[in-house]
Amino acid sequence: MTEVFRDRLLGVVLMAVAIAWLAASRFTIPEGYSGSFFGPRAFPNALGFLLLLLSVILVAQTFSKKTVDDDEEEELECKPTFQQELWATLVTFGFLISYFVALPIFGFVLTTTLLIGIFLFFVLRKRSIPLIICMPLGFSIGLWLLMGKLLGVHLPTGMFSWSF
Amino acid sequence: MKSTLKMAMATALLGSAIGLASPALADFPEKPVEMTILFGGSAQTVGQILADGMSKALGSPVVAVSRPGGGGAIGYSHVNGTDADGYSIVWNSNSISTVHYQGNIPFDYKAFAPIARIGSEVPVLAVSTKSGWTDLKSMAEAAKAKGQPLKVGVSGLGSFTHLAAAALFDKLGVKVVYIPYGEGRAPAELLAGRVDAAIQWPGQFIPHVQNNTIAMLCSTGMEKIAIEIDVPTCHEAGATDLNVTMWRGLAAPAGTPDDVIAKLQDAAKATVEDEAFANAARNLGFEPGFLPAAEFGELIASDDAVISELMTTLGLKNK
Amino acid sequence: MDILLSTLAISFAPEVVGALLFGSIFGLVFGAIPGLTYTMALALILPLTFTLDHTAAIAMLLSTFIGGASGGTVAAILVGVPGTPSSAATVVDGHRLAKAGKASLTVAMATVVSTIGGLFSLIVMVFSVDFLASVALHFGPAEIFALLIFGMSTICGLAERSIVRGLIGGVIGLMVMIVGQDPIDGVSRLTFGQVPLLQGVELLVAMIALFAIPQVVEAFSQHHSGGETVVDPNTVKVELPRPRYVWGFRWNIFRSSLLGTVIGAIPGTSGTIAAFLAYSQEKKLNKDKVAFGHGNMGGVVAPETSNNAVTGGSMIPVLGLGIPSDPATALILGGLLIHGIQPGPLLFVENPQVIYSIYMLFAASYVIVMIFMLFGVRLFVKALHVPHHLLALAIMVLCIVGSYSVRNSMFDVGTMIVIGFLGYLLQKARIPLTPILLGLVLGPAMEREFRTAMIMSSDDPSIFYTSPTALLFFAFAAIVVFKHTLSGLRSRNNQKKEA
Repeated sequence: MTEVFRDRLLGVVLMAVAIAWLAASRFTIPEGYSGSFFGPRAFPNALGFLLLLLSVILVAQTFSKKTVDDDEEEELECKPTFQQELWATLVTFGFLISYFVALPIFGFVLTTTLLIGIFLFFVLRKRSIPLIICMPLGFSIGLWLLMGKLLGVHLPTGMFSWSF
Repeated sequence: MKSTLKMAMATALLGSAIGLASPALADFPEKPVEMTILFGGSAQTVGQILADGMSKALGSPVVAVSRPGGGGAIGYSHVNGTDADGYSIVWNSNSISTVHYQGNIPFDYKAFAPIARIGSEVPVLAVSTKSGWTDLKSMAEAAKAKGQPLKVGVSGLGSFTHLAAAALFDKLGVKVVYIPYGEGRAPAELLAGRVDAAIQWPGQFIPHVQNNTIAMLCSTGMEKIAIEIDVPTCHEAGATDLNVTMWRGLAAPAGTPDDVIAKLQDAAKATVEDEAFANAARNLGFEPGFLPAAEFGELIASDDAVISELMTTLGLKNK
Repeated sequence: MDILLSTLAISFAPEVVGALLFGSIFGLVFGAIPGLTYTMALALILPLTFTLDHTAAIAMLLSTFIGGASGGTVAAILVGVPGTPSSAATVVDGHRLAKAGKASLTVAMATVVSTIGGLFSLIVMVFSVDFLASVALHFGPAEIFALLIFGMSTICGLAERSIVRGLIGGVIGLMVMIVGQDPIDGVSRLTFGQVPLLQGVELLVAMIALFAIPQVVEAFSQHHSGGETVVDPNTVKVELPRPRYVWGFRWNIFRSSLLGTVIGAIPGTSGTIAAFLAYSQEKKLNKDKVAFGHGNMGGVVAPETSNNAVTGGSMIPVLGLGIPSDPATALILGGLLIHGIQPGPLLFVENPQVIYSIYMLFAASYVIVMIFMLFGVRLFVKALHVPHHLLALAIMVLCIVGSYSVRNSMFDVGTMIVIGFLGYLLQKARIPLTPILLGLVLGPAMEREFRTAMIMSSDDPSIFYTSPTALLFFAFAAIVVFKHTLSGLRSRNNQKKEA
């Protein structure tokens, strides 16, 4: 994927977003009661047009600008490949989504312990027993004590009476 | 100092303890009661002190959990979706009616079983002393003579202060433009002369009235407000029969067993009657006034009808 | 003099010192954890102050406020995730300095200048509370809108590669904040009938997602490719700034403190705006070889000084007029009211002792927080020894907990994941993330002030150009945009010549 292609793709996607946004603003936002010309729709409309304009400029620039300054692309010696990056994206969002699903069911302590443990063992392939036991428990119980007990911040408790 | 700090810590622990609370008790409450708070500001502060007091009265924690947003829609929807077992209650107000008629929640006050009214807040009409207006009539006459609409600051369009203002100026027959500010900014806008009048909770005006820069012309309830400054009611001052008061109380999802409601109601009563709670609440501009579940229910229903009518005349109704 | 001495005695009774220590730590922890803020810390601590006597209650509230305002720096510098929105500007240079092995020096420096900024604002407060309170009164919707536009213009300085990309980021940030309940008319916007969407996107949740998630992905992909940089524990030195080093930044500190104090006094604005304005101002004045954005200490000093100077500034309208300027000071005001203390002009006449004790406790809180932080530096930099992939795992858990606890809502956790994903994609597409945050912070206020101004003037735009203050800020904004466009064009021409 070249720089120019990526910018054009981005520009087109943003244009589509802007148009969808403008349509949604036009048809779903009610008029408001203040009697002012600048009602609830004014800002969404202005922003939609602005995004449209900016994305057009972005695409136009890809035709005029020859060189794109890649001064500090990455300072890393070994840049991850696309596959490695994809793997990282999948594990990150996989973890977050499983957590999101499990949290309301099992509550904070159980979800945290289980998911950190699973992640360490299966994803990061850790085999150090102390790490696999201490990190999940330390995190779940530590945070539960710190947030729930000491700071008085409410944490999700789960669906069962025994989960906390 | 150690003892005070310990006490503070103990209150913190009590207020936040989750799970495993007094398993020996066979009946309600077996676990902490969650009190959903809908707004920030003084509503939140009073709600938290109330939760604190009720924890002591119930002997089991009542945890205040903030679920703000959507003019109350978020918190009401959350509580409406929980089991009707008394473990999830809401620190409610007239907003149940305004938010429903605005079309932001599909259910109305009937989705909740009233527990108790805790007290009320009454908006006041305030003007800058520079305006020279000393009472409601002189203001109304001056505004009519000027021929231009009066700029009146309220919290937001469709908010309770807006409704109170609309009811008042409707009675006076004065043309008005409503300027929607956040709650705290009314005194600043009055002092700077950017608005002609403001309808807000009295607490924030007190230091300025004492400093003789702002005057409170009248309060929108039928009864006089209990503050050290003498403010006539709007009814006395010329807007005959005006009666707009915001109550705050507790409610649980409809279908909650009566004995559970009774327990919560008694805990609320004990708290409201506690002198320390009453003083703190008054300092925040909140007038404590306990009403039991049945009477509270009637009040909610009658106010709902009034608000529905007001919002219809204002063109604010979406439902 | 008598009154000062007696206040001193009351202010440093053991009970009060205990409250100060407790509040400082409580606030620091809340500030340091992304997603928890001092506003939340104040809300939670308020019922506790109820049982204390009024001096101890004031001590606890002020120290929580100040601890919370200082704690956000640590995470911003060490892991690149700001603990509070007001420390977001610190990330740019602070995190780079930490990567370059200067973590402890940077955190300590930030702590020292925060304290200086806070104490500076206190001195301004003591000597000009009346004057600044009347200046604050002068800011109506039109003037605040102009100031916000000026704040928005700093996007030009933050968009490193191209202004168009920076502006796209800013517009996206503004758009995200549109979703939910309209701030003026109360109607729902782009919620498509979904009640949870009515509450809109919470700023903190979006901030956590934007800053943390792309970093987490990067850490895992580095780990997977075997390119993870391992920090040698021996290279992490604990180094504190020498007074001469701090003195070298005296003008930066002075300008940033002044800016923060004034912005703090104006209602409807916040530490975040002050931090970004200070950053962009110092970036323009920078004469150092290292440019801002590439690990310049000045880029840490400016935002940290000004976001703490905001604390004193925001107390000015509270004490002088009894008017809170943001949710945090509203809670402090509530705490004072519970104890029957009614801030406002009369408090200075009738009960000056309370005012003096507020001043003293404010200063004491800063000193205590600074001592805690400087001792803590040793502990904090230990976080750098943790391998990045394990740190990333920990950050993910904190992101979930943080975004949940802002409003106790699973909806926010879902939002965090979605915005995190979008942020990651946008970063890949080279849209800078900081302008998005600026759009998120300024968006709601900008719209509210603009529309209020228009309602007030019955749609007459002259409200914006008849106010000298508003014109001044519009002019500032225009100068910033103009200068950046000019320098952008110049550097492009230079490149063409070289090529």
